[in-house]
Formats: sequence, structure tokens, C-alpha cells
Amino acid sequence: MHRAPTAAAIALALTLLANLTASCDATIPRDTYGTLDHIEARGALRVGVSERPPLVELDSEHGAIGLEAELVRLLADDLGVEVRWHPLPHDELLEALEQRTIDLAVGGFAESSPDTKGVGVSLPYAELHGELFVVLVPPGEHRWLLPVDRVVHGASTALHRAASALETRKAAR
Amino acid sequence: MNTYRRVSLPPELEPARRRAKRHAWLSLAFLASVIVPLSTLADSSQIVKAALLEDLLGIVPPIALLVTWRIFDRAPSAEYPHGRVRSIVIAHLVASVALAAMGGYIVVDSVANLVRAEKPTLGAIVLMDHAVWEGWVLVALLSYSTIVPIFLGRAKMKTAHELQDKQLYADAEMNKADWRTGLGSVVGILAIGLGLWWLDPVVAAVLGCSIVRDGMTNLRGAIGDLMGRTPRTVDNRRVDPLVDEVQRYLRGLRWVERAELRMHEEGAFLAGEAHVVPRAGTREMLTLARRAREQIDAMSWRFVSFSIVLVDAIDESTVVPDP
Repeated sequence: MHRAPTAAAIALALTLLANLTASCDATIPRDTYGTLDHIEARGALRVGVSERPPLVELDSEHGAIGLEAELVRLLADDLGVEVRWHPLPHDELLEALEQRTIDLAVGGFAESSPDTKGVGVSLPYAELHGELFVVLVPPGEHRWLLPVDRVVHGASTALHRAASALETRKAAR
Repeated sequence: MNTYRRVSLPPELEPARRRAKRHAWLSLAFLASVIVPLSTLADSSQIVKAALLEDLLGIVPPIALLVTWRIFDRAPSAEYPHGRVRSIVIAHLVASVALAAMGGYIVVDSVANLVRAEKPTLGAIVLMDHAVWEGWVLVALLSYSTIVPIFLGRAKMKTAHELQDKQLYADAEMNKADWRTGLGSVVGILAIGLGLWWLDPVVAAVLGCSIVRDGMTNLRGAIGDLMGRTPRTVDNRRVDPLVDEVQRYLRGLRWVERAELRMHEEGAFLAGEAHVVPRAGTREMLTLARRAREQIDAMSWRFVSFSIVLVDAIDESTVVPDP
């Protein structure tokens, strides 16, 4: 009795999904507020930074130095844009993200920290002292998070390889 | 003194029972295959939270079935003179309360998220060393979790009819109805990907409402069963025709002047009693009453306890109209 309408509904849903998936591959995911487009149009990446030695420290000559600073430079190179550093106190970084006055926040954020609630969280770039460290993006910016995640993932893979190479070398000695 | 029979399914229903058990195990295996990956992504959005919760609660009915079917047909004892049949109804009650409560939590949580304008942000996850957008993984996972229960639900429904098992029927109906919420969650994830962040809590709240509704429907059924409501058909739509059949049988007997009946359900089984006023002058009344009872028992395997109480008059104040 219910068979025909259910089957029809499933068929319809599947067709819809297939169409959506095929036609939207280029446009999904999209940024809610177009952060990635703005970065590309501006030619600059606005990075909010609060010091967390040794992961990231302010430097009068280079803006910022440390593992997270290098990660940001890798990302900027990847996008072909320049980096603009915005030094901010730790807790103002999150507010700046929510108001989208910065595109990225670095400052030794741990994935498990409550700071990461309500904003976009990258993949972890490294595990140090049992904490997974991440960088943050404004909430709702899915498309912008993708290149961030790719660079972070690449860096974390490289770090992993380096760490295991080190282990083998130690064991051989 | 114990008038309860040991309940047991007739041998011809044994294959249906085995099938129901197999479906329960299949459901559990399937739910595990959804819950494990989904729980690692639960942080990402309200929709995923709601879907995960729905699947987590989906574990309860198959487990209840597997557990109660191990104990419901134990012989009555001095400690449990009514046997353990009601364990099935208790499992039903617990599951429906959990369902309604968790659905309510999702609704409240989603509305709060909407008010706070909390935007989900879906990034990449690593699959076989590739960074893939989480949304696609969720769409695939949620589609899988939607399509499989449609077939499971259909199979369970057939078995539920054979076994007259309301709990199984309710579970099957929920499985079958899941496709709407599943489709909703897939569309919701795609909407998030299009930047329509507010659709996340809205879709999640709708999912929550449907969970609450499922819970309330089941709760009504379970409470009715526990209160000893007159037996209803497996889909709960109308009074079970067996009630009328027994009533007419008794009233049609020549030695019966008057018969008033009350019956209730215990899981798939039926129990109850009839107060019967025999015609004056009828001899061998007790034998006749026993034969009538045997006739009624033979009408369906579902009768576990039915007694005929011979009375000299029916107390009019206790009579309710026939269902």
C-alpha cells in the first residue's frame, strides 16, 4: 500500500541528491561571508596573533616567528597573497574572528580548549604534550577553512615523517 | 495457585521469531556502523548531533527485543505468578521515555543555538591521507544511515504483523519513517555548505520534534498497555477483533444468561476474565464453563490467562459499554 509512494520519494531524493552533488561540487562548500574571496581580492591575509612561545612569538623584523608563523607563511604562499600580522591579546582574537576583522587566528590554541567553541577549527598541525594544536578561522567560513586544512594537514604529515625518521635514527645509534 | 499458562509462541511462528532476532542483530550491526564514524564528527553541527542521538536511541528497541525474548517465556513462579511477559511492555515504556526526553533536549538545544546565532563551520577531515570536506563525508554517511533502515523497517513490519508484536511494529514504523528525517539532514548539511548556517539549528529542531513525536506515540501505547487497556490491533488503530469474538461466543452459549468481559494485553499476549451469569437450572455448569474457556483458549495462541467467573448476578455499577 505504501510501497509505491515511498519508492517514488526515494528515487526523487536520490536524483535530487545526485544532481546537487554533481552541479554543486564547485560551489559547495561556500563561505557564509565570502572570506576566501575577500582574501584573494585584497591580496592579503589578515592574521590575528597572540604570543605563545615557542609556537608563535612577535618579531620586529618578520612580524611573527615560530612554527605557527611558518604555517601561516606557507598558507599565504599557497594562496599567492601577503601576510598582515595583527597582534592582539589572546581573548580578543576570538572576538576579532567573530566580527571577521581577521581571517585567521594563531596563538597556540589547543583543539580541546573551550576557546575553539563557536569558531572554525582547523585540523591539528601537531601534537605536543598530549594536546592537539590548531589554528582558528571565522565561524561559518567552510570554503576558506579548506585551503587552511590542506596546508595544515601537509605540515602535520611532514612533521610526522620527520619525527619517525628521528626515531629510526636514534634507534640505529 | 496459579492460573497463568506458561506463555509460548506456537511452533509455526518459530521462523518469524528467529527472523525478528536476526533483524535485531542486523539493526545493531548497522547502527554501530553509523554511530562510530558519526560520533567522531558530532561536534560539527546540530544536525549531526540530532542524527547521532536518533541512531543512539535506535539501539534500544532491538536490545529490548533481544533481552525480553530471553526472559518473557519463563514459566510463572511463586515469585512471578504472572510470568515475565510484561517485561516487553516495560522495555517499551523505557525506550519511549528516553526517545521523548532526548528529542526535547535536541529541540531546546537547537533553538538556543539559533538564538545565539552559532554558526557551524565544516572543515576538512583526513580520509586515507587526503583532506576531504567534512560535509561530503556527512552527506554520504547520512544517506547510508537513511536508506538501510527503510528496508530493515519493511522486513520488521512483516514480522511484527505475524508475531502481533507492538514493540517490534513501533520500531519498524520508526525505521520506515526515518527516511524523511534522513533526507532532511542531508539537505541541511548541503545548506550549511551553501552558507545558510541558520538551516542547521532549524533542521535539527525539526528532527528533534519528530523524535519527540515518535517518543510520545510510543509512550501512549506503552502506558495504555500497562494500564490494561482493552487489546488493540498491532497498529493500535482499533480494538482487537478477538475481544468481540470472545464476547459474542460467550453470549451465544445457551447456558449463559449474561456475560461481561474485560481483557488486556501483555506484550503480544492476551489475558482477562469474563463474569458470567448462568441460566437457572443448568446442570454441570462448571464443566460447561471449563469447555467454554477451552474454546476461547483455542481461538488464538495469544490467550495466556483467561478465566470465566461464575456469578449469580452482575453488579450493574461495574458494567461498562462494549468496546
